[in-house]
Amino acid sequence: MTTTTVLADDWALLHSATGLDDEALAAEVATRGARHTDEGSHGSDPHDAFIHAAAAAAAYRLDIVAGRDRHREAVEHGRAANERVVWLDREVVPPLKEEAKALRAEIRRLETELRSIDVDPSGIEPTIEWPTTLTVEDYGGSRYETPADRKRAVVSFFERRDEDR
Amino acid sequence: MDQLVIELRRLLVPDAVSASMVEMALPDRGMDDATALSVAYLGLYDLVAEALSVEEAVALRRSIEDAEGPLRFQLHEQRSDIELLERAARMDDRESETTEGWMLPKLRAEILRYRERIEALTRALEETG
Repeated sequence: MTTTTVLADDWALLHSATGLDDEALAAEVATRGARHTDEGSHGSDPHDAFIHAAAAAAAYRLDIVAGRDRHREAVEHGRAANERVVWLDREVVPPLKEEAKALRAEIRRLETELRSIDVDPSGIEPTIEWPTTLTVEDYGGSRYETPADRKRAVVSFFERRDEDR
Repeated sequence: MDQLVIELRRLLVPDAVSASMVEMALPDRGMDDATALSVAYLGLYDLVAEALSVEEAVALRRSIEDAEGPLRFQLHEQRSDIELLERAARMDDRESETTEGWMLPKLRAEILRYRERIEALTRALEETG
């Protein structure tokens, strides 16, 4: 047995058109469907033309309806992912970067003060490997005021990338 | 009969269609998923067609052909939209992972190191002064 899935609304049409029960319908559908696929072309018979047109449209419809859930999930996941980036950018990162910025300034101030009294601060441990640290001097705060700002930034990124292709 | 035609026309608008699905078993003829679906829908509409007059079948086929373009467009739009949303979400997820998994731990470790250095420099100043 092979199983396939059709829309319940399509299936309901059969009940109104034939009055057969599910099992009898499935067997009849399989026999008739196989005959059409074996025949290949659908000629000029009006019923035949209707059958092929309706089956093709039904397949599109099934894809669209089945895609609704995936679309909904994509919207929800997209919103959650977007809000997380904005939350990190607005609530978590700024205080740490501001603190790092202030501490770095304080280190430089103390080093300058030591040099002014002829003490070389480079020998005092722990030292800082400045080139490997995160640069925060230019940090100007959160990039996104709202989730919509982040969304615009992402859309703009893809637009620029697509234009470059 | 009229009800069937009305129902067939309603089904041309996917937004009006319920998302409920029915699973049907077909005799195994080594079919892939696409062929099985095609067999099911051709068989299904073959049965429906029996209840239609020639005039109804012709009129409905025309309606279906008119609707096919919009259906294809709607499907294309939906797929493009999903793809864009999923790409954007992947990009956001990667950014959050980088921030939380790399940048924040690094920043916190650097802050600790800065504090330690400030203590050491302050001590040196006090000892010298």
